Amino acid sequence: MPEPAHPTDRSGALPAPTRLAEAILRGLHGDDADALVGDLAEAYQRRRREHGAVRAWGWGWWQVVASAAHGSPSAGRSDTVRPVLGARMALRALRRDPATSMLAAGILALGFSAPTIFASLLWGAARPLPVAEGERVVRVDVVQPERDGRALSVTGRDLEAWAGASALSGLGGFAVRGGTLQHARVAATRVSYAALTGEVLPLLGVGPALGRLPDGSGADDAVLIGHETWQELFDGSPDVLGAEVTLGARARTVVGVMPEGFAFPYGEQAWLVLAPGDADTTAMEPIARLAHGASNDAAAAQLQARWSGSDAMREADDVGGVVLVRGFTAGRGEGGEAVAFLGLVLVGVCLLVIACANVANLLLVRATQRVRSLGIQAALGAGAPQLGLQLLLEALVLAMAGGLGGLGLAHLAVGWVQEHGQANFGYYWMRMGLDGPVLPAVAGLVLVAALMAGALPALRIMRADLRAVLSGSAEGDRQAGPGGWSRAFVTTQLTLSCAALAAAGIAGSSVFDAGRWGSALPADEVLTARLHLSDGGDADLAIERIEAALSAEPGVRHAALAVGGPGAWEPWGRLEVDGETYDRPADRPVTWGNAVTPGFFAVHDLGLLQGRLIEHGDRAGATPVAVVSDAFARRFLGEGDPLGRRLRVPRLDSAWATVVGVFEAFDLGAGPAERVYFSLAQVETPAPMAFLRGGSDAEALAPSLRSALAAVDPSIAVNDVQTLADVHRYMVRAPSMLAALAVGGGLAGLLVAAVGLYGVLAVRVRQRRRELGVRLALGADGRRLARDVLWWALAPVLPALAVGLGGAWLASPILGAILLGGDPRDPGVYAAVGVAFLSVGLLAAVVPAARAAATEPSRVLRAE
Amino acid sequence: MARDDYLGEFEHLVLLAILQLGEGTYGVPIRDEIEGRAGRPVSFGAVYSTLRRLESKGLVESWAGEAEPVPGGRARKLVRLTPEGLAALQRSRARLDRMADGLGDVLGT
Repeated sequence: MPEPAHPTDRSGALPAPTRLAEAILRGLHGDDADALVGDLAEAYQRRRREHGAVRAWGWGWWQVVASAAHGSPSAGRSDTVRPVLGARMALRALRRDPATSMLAAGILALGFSAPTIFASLLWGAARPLPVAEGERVVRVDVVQPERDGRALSVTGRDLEAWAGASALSGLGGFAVRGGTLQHARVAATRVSYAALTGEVLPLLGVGPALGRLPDGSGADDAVLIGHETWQELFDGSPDVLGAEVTLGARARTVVGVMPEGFAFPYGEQAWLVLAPGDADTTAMEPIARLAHGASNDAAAAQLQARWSGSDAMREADDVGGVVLVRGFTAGRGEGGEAVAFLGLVLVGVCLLVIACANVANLLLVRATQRVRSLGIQAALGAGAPQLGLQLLLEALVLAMAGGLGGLGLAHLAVGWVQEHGQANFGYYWMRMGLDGPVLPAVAGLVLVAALMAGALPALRIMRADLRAVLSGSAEGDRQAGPGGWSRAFVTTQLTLSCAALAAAGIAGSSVFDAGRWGSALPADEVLTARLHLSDGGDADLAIERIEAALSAEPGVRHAALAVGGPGAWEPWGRLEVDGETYDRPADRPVTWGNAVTPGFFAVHDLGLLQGRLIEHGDRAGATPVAVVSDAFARRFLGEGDPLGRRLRVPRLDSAWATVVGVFEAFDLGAGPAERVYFSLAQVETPAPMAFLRGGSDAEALAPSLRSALAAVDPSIAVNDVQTLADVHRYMVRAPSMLAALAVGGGLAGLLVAAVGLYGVLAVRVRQRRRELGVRLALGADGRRLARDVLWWALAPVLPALAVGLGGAWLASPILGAILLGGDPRDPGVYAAVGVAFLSVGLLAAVVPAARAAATEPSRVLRAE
Repeated sequence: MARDDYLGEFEHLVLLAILQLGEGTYGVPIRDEIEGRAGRPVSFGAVYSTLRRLESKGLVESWAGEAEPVPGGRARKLVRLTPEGLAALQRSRARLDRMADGLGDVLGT
């Protein structure tokens, strides 16, 4: 006999949502529904007791779905039945043609993966600060619109004027600085640190993981260090508390270690509190926390009312400035990351549109093939809306399957990007992931995709006279066939995929060009490091002594110092050539410069063509000199002798430099060849780069580098010791990753479009098999028929190629703004994309062409 | 022999479960019995649609049990085998035995 159940089991809840489950079951099981639901509730409650809520919930929902599938059409009479019946028919149709269903779901998975990945990247860049209620932490800027939005500095006095604004629950300021951290037990290290007002850390709601906060007065010379610095320099020892260090040439005491991952505001490694007197005269970036219920605009209005201009402007009697309040992380995007990510999102959406068009085509073609069975359903009483709903539900099921598949692919890709690209993200709070608004966005895309893929096939079937279809009339065939829509879909897919592939090709070419950088220079043989000279020391004297000490080290063939490396892409402002006239300052060309010591040219094998190179005699106080590349001379100094010409750049403080030599330009792939080098001794720089070249193993020179510098001045901080090849690899890592994603997306789009083209050609060959059979029977050559099919393929491919490449050509200036370099209109790239595109298009036509040529006239005509 | 006399596999299992459990059984124990003895997952929908079919063939009959004396309490649908149902089971079993006659070694029975 059945065992007694708990008295409330049958009245208990089903796996949520109960009403939906009951409605589904009631619609399909009629009078039995009450008992069935009661049985399900009883079994579900028992499972919860025995196996836990999670397993019971999964089992319960399986029961609901499986029970719905066994429902009887005659049992249910409610309006819930029709959609459920449509879903059952849709599921059956999908099961009957598993190959097409899996192909469609796979295509949609590809289509969903791309925008999901790229949206995750974009969300990662826009994420709020990783502190409690980080979305309410805002930054305050004061800008001058009449001066191109230039931001004004704010001091502690201005923060005092703003104190009391009711829209803010906290207000403070910070200034980011660089300094040398020294301790008795560790080598001098350059760190980036933040000087904060006392309100900042309480405002953020963050405290040290070890130790205590500074007392807030700034008088205790306390400093907090970051977790990573603690691990690297102090081996993670709790003895760090109370350690006496020097930071920025001032003695301080370590009082705390901040939690792992904290690097406020932009990746800093140490924090100290400004004394009120220091804060009043320190230019700072304001930061605040919005009060509950307050908006950015309300806060900005209150602060604007209290703003009376900076000290400098007060002195100049030029009060102005507009106060802006924005999320702290809003708009941040170092190196154009936000623009690049947004561009990738657009590429991803293109891919999804391509995928949806492809699936719509597949569903349209399949509906055409099933038109007779749909016609029979109509004859048996199914209404047009019911048949259309069936096709929409098929598309929805495919979209859901594709969405899940796309999320899986995106999860893998985002994990890879996070693991390999975290170091390249501009700000420490950037973290990619499938959270936040990404999942709801994907869910929305699933619904949109289902509509996009299912609407047209559904409408076409709903409008067709299925009785005419059943009668076999030509009109019936025309109404139910895919018609011109199919070709339109394919052309759209091909056009978008061509444009996406061209954009991806340009991005990939840019990275490839940048990759040639290493082959132009002995990058693996050169060791580099960033030096930070003593605060307040004699930089000029130090540079000369450092170069001499480095050159004297055993194993070092050549040594040099410079502002940047040979491939540095830092503009040195607008160039002015003596004797040239410029209508406006903006007409002066931007130049790419460097300042070097004499050894620089030997380190990098830069050959002299004319005159002389930088020499030790080119010291501070002597006549400024410059050495230019031959490309620079040709472009900016005209046809005559470049030696003796004079030029100046803002970095030289308006002094004219005389050209004393011309060196051979080197091809960096990316970046200009027109370069000018000045003497490092004549350009102020507290943080030069050191370059050492010895034998083939550059890393073996690292001990020599440190010992030479320690002998000159132990307070010189050395950071980023790595080979020139490593420097280059770091520079191209993030663009390479983005280019790889773009190329992958472009190729995926091309694959999807090619599948769509194949489908259309296959259907067309099948539909016209009678005509093909007749032509063959009358003596036509099979190869001629195959050529005709290839022309059918080219009909959408050629216009798509023209429009796609043309669109990419027009958009190339936008692409050029975010690339490493290279030419966004490189004809080679466009030609390669064109060839690849044509090849794939023709490849998609091979099988249909072969089938057309292999048509057996006798079989076809007998079947007719 | 009437066409309604032929039993499908799941109809067999449901009838045998009712026979095992006795008169007045209902959906939950029937499902548990089939899952436990036959080792196959079964949905309540499958059980109920089969019971409807068997009832239409006259092989089982059902009646509503009393609802639980609690708010929202749902009544059970109780079932029992009819004499025709028992006879159909017996005929079906005999049919299978005749088909399997002499195959004991092969079938391992």
